[in-house]
Amino acid sequence: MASATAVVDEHAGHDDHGHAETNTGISNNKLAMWLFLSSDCLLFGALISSFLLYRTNISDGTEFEGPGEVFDIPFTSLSSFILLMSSLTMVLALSAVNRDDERSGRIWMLCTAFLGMLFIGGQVFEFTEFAGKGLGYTTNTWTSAFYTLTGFHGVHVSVGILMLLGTVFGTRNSGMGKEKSETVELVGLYWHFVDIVWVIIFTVIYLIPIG
Amino acid sequence: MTATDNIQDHGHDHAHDDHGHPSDRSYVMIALLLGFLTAIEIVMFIFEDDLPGAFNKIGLIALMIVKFIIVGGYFMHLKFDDNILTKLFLAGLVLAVGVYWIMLSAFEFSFWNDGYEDTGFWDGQVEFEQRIEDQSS
Amino acid sequence: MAIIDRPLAIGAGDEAAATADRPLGDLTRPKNSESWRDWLITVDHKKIGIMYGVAAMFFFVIGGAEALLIRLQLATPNGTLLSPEVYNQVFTMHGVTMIFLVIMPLAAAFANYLLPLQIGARDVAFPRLNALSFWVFLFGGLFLNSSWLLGGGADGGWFNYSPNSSVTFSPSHGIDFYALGLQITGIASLVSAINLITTVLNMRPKGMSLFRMPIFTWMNLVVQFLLLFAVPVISVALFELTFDRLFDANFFNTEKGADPLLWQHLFWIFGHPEVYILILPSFGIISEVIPTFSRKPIFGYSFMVFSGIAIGFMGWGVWAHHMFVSGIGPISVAAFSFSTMFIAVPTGVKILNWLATIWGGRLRFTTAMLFAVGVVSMFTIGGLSGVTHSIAPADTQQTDTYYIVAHFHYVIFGGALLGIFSGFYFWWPKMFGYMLNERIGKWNFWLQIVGFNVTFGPMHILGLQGMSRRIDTYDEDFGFEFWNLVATIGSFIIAAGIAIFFYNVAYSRKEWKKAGMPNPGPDPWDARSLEWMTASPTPEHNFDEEIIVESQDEFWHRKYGYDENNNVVRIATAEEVAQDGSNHNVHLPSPSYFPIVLALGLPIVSYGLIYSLWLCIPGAALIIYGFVGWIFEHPDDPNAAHDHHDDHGDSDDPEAVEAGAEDVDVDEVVAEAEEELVAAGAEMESDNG
Repeated sequence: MASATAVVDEHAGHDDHGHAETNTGISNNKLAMWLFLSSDCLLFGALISSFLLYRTNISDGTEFEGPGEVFDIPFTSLSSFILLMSSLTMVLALSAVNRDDERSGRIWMLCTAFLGMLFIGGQVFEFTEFAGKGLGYTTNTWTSAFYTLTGFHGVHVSVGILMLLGTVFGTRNSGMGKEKSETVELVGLYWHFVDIVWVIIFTVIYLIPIG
Repeated sequence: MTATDNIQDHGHDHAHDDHGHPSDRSYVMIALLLGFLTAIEIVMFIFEDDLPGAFNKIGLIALMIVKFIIVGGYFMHLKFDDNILTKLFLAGLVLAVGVYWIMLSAFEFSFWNDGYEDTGFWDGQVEFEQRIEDQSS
Repeated sequence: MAIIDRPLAIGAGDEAAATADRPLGDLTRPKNSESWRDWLITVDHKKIGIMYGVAAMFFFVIGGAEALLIRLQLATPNGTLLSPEVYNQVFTMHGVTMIFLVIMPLAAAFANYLLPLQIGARDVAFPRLNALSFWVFLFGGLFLNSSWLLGGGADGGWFNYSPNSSVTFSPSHGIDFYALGLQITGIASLVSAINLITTVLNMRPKGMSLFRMPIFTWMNLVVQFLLLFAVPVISVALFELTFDRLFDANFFNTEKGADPLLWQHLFWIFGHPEVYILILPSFGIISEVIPTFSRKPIFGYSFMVFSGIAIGFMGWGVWAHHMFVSGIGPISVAAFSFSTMFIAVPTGVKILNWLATIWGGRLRFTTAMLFAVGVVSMFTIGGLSGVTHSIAPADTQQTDTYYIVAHFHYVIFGGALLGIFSGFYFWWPKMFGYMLNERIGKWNFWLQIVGFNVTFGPMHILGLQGMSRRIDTYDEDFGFEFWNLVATIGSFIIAAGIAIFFYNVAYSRKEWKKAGMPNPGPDPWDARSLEWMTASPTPEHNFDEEIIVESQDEFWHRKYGYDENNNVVRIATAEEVAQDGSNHNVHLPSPSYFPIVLALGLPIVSYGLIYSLWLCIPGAALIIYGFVGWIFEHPDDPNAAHDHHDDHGDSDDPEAVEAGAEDVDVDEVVAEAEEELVAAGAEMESDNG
């Protein structure tokens, strides 16, 4: 039956040698990743709309006068810029891996992870500042919605950092050349998605003025 | 599915070259453009009071969409990949914008007018509006 | 994985299998034990499908018992069987169990088993993720039901409207179990959706274009897309509810100006697509059964496909018809009223197509066919009462009455469940290698359908008389006594019908063994789609060789041709056409411990969130352990002979899998991390006063 199996092999999802002989021409992993990202749009959509609903709803009896009072736009702009630039280092990493330039690939991915950590650091700093101004998670509807939304995003970034570090350090023995291109690409897709979510959050939550 | 048959034997090695991905240099240029757009956003925010409210909001949202498309199209290389990925992603995105937009509309929430248009629709709204009035007076 | 440990029957250690034709292939794997342990580590989509079915039937018995308790309580006025508190829990858990732990997983059972077979694939795209989906679902369901032993189930109705679901109004942990349990089963659905969509889009053999796929596959593809997009919505709603209840967030805290309608919107944005998630698989099943037993191709194939897609699409624009009396404003009511009327159109198209398929066919009224006809007729009743709800003024009268209860049982029992039973009778020989007894099957059908109508038919009347849902009793002179008693009698007739089904399974199996286990052959029903083109029960490797597809109903076209007068004539027997499953040279994905390990962590973390955050640590550790092990485990057994016979869905590249797997699990990782973060934040908060 060897010939029969050979026939079967031709439509196999993956094997060691070839790649992505699928109906769509897209590998299973990549298609699954995009499906997940597509699904995640609905997740962030729900969080953002929950926030929008409570955006001006601050009747909590405290001194809190509204987000304008606590947002530090120059600071958030800087961290937004950092996240945006981490997308650049991510594509440069992928580009390097595609060139089979393993060393540059690793460096760029570590850069990306570092920029991500800076962003998370900024977020922790921001949360601490807010908390210092008396805005706890349970203070009012605005704070609950705000911390949940930005917290979910922060967790997504953190997961991305773990993926980046996992890829860089998990391939120490096996190498991270061209053959790992798809892995890097998938991590990159996730990373860029997290970035564009922040593009939306930054505009809709921070920049669009209220009143 | 005939179209896909043609690209079935693309080895991964060639896939990227074939699709003509941007060079590193163009990636840097794209990133600079994104940085520039962000700078415009911040300038718009700073001069918020000098610009008409609607202009400000529309401008910021337009910039947001442009940034979104650039990152999606180039960094996530949707522009160079099979169309179906764009469609799948857009399905989720459009659905999300659609249903949540309708949901917020059902709350009579207005993006342009900051909050609720009618009165007494939700608990605490009356007090809230009272407070806003007190503040402005 | 067992070389040819055929999925003969549920459970394991099957002596029957041992005597069956079982030549050992040349790729015996070290992990094979042919014991029950195989089921814990299997990644075979067929075994996973069967496990889905068994688990769902287990929950079905629980949910059925709850239903009987409700009916006993309401059989007579001023019933005292259940206290109001317990009654609240029973009807809530009945709904939650039947929807999330019975109908959805039963549909998943068929989808898992049949989707790869119907498109002619070897397995799903990500076999290990498939196993993960099942275990996550099972543990989520057990977690949810464990609330009965830990202070009582959720008590706010399956939709748990806020603010009634807040700690103030529901101080027991029931709703915490509800929120976290559904969160867990949601992860299972999401992972499964990504997996099955990828399978259908990517793993079809040559010639199997999208528009040659069977309707069942099509309907399930639509369902998986609905799940893909609906699950995150309910996830967010459940997160918000969980954070409100456990960490004092204010999403639904009306004291601080929160709007409780937020929950209703999010819940029904998920909830209405959910209705189609429940019903479309059943539509798919009967779209296979009716053509087979009418001996005609499905009428209007493309209409069936497009109406299914249209239902899936329009299902997103009608959610607020569940909220007509919630105060959403006249414009919303008018708009949603309109869209709701429209969604009846594609459903009507389907019904007409089924009727047209039956019309002029040479009908065989097997049990499967009877159930399928039952779906068409009962669902039509349920669909029509549904249209009456789209008229908002009438709906205002009907809301929260038994009329609604009647409607959705006609849709979900009369539509979804009967369809699933049709599927049982139809595919049983393919799954287990023996036929269910037709004579007993007819008893099963008639008892079920009569009992069903006796139970839920009167509820229309009760509802229009004004009997409220979710009220634990009624007074003597309300005029509700007679029909309530009738409904209770009906519910026990249903129970008898279901019991007969279980009896039928045992009886048919016993008789089959007694008769020397005759093989039903690859194609006992003279069916049309590819799953019948391989041996029964399905061999572990599905197909000996790739099927090159040339038309819709490929298998039928290989059996039948046309003579010179253009009459249909048989040109080959099923045995000639079908593959005999004798190719043991196929490399299959290796079993793995990690899906079950990873899944086990989730309920532990959830218990931790409810009782003590310390418990989250071992739970999270288990998840991380499962996760890391998963990444570094080669998807294929490295000890197995590994020459050129690679044929497995999963990637060989552990790194690629890392990314793929990690992405899909992001949700739960996010969930845990977020929960812990917020928990920590909340603690800090409360410490700070």
